[in-house]
Amino acid sequence: MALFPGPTVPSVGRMSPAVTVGTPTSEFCAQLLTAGATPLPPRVARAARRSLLNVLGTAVGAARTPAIDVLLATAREQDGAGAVAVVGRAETVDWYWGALLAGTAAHLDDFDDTHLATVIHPGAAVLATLLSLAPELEVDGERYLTAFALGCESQLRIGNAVSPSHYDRGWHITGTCGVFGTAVAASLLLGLTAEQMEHALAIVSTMVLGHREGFGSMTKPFHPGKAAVNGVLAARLAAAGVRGIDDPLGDGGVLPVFADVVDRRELGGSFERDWELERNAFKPYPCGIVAHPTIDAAVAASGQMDDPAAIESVEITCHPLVPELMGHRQPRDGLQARFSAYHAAAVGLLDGQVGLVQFGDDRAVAPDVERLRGLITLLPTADCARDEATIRIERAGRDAVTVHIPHARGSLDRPLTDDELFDKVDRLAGPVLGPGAARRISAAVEALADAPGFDELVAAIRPTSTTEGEANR
Amino acid sequence: MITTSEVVDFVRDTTPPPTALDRALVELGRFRRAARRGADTPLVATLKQVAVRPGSLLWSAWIDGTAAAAVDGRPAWVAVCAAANALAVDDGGAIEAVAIGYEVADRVRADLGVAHTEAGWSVQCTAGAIGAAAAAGRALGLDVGHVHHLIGLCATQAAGLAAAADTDTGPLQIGKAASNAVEAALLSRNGFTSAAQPLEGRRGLFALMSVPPAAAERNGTAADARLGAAWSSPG
Repeated sequence: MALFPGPTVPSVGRMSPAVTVGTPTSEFCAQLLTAGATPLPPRVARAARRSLLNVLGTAVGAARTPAIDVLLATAREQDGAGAVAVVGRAETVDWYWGALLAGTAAHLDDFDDTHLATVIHPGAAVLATLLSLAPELEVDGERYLTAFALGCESQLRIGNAVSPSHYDRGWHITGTCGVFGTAVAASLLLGLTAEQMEHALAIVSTMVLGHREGFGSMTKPFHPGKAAVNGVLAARLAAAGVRGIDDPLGDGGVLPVFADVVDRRELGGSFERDWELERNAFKPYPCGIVAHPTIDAAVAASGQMDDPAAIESVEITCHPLVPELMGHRQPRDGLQARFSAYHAAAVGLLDGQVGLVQFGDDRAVAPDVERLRGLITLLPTADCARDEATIRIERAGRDAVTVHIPHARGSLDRPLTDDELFDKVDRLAGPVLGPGAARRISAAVEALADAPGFDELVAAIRPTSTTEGEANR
Repeated sequence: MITTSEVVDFVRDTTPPPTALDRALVELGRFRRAARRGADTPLVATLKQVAVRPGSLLWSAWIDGTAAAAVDGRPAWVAVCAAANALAVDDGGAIEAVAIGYEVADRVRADLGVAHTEAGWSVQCTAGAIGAAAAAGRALGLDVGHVHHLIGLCATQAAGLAAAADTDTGPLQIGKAASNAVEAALLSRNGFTSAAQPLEGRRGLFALMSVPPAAAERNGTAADARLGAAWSSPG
């Protein structure tokens, strides 16, 4: 299969005009290729490593969930055998299913990264692109890290150009903009020319996906998974000479079709400036971000109390969006619990930590949690910031406990520390790959820029023993 | 505006009348001839090169759909024919699936209205995707829930640009709609889930890809017409 043709491949269909100098798309691609051939600025490299580590953790954490089992069963049924690793498992599949599996897993629990201005979760689809191409590539680790950074950055810039109208209309921007990021990352890794990359973007602009109607089902995480598939497909087709429309990011492309307002200035700008990737935040808790300051407050208060049974009442001063988006008073299962600030605060107070276990079906209906949820009052307050909350707990025969959180963990003003991020990945990877897995993953991410390739990192996200999972097909 | 449940019931419970089956037979034949002619084009040769397994269901739907869309004399809904052709166990099943899929695609196109095309979408790929989903669900004889999720997976992936029609991506995006439908059918049969109201929901296909229903041009179609109503009307 000729995937690396020279730069003079003719169109396999109708010929299109040869010159596309100075279009938004050609300028965008030329800049990306230049940035791709330049070492990342140190701050950007750090941001890329943190985003990569976070999304590796969420992908491993979802390795044995029903959605992943369905995808894997279907891959088997369709003879999807190949050399691409399935994150957190022993199986391998072909690149198509590998991309779909990894992108879906990484976004599955809605626990991945969030670019707060656009609400894009950029890491999942780009990680999936890297993993799906890895077995066939001979490029060094630094190139993987650069492709990851630019794959994220390009979707964030396109996202900025169509925000907020695009998401507000109901599009799942992680899928619709994700396809461009994966096409960019795949183009860089496969060594496409600028012109080929433009056509990769043109091809993928016919493969955008993601309606917010699918939220709450397996279709939401499917979006970044399929975005990875489509981006890799587009890059391969472009490399083989397939041609799409000219200037897919311009007036005749898809952006004005799916957004009411397009601000193309967001696409430009030097790649030496502050990157949007530096504004990519990591969720400390697997639920809606508006409840995170409340959870911070509850977890902090829990450290100041020895007997939760003595709690008589809890008042939480919060932003008005908290009850609006997470107002479920008594959830009946784990999924409903993710939409309950009452639940989030209760498990924070009782367990002193809020992870996937706290949003599982068991904790959702546990009697101690139910009792405490019933004692909580939310006080939505217009002048409370979105990343702020105050909790006040009245106790029988004891002093009241009050905790004020000015900026939630994982917000722009209070990013997760490296230790907190490691702790998050440890909690995700440990139950799937055993103790020490997070250490191996973190070490492989830190060493990636100096590594000969992607092998060490791929090894770190798979079981170390062949007894885990099934043998390769 | 058609609802997802109406499409599901139609896919599951309807027996197309002889006239609809006759038309489907003609269309399926046209599709197969076009797919054979298009198989020799450079575009399809390239797609086969990129395909992991050209003979597998989801790739063959894409390849045959692209081939049929790359030449003149193609059927009205290439994506519907390609999905039915890939998944049906025999010609009788394929013809039924095409009849069902055509009716759904026609109706979704009418409900999307002119605003959809004016916005820049390719209705062959979008309404075609939902028609292909209906055909795929029928061809595999899927359960109610599976058909529902299948339609959701296809709705959320409905895409394709009118402006791309005259480039290589024109035929490719039509073939892709068929491939997405085949994949969605296989996934939903194994338990993959999707939205409750992927067509009519507040953030579903009609809301995102057309204008709000209240302002929608009905475009000459009876708003309350049942799926299949056209089959029994004269002419």
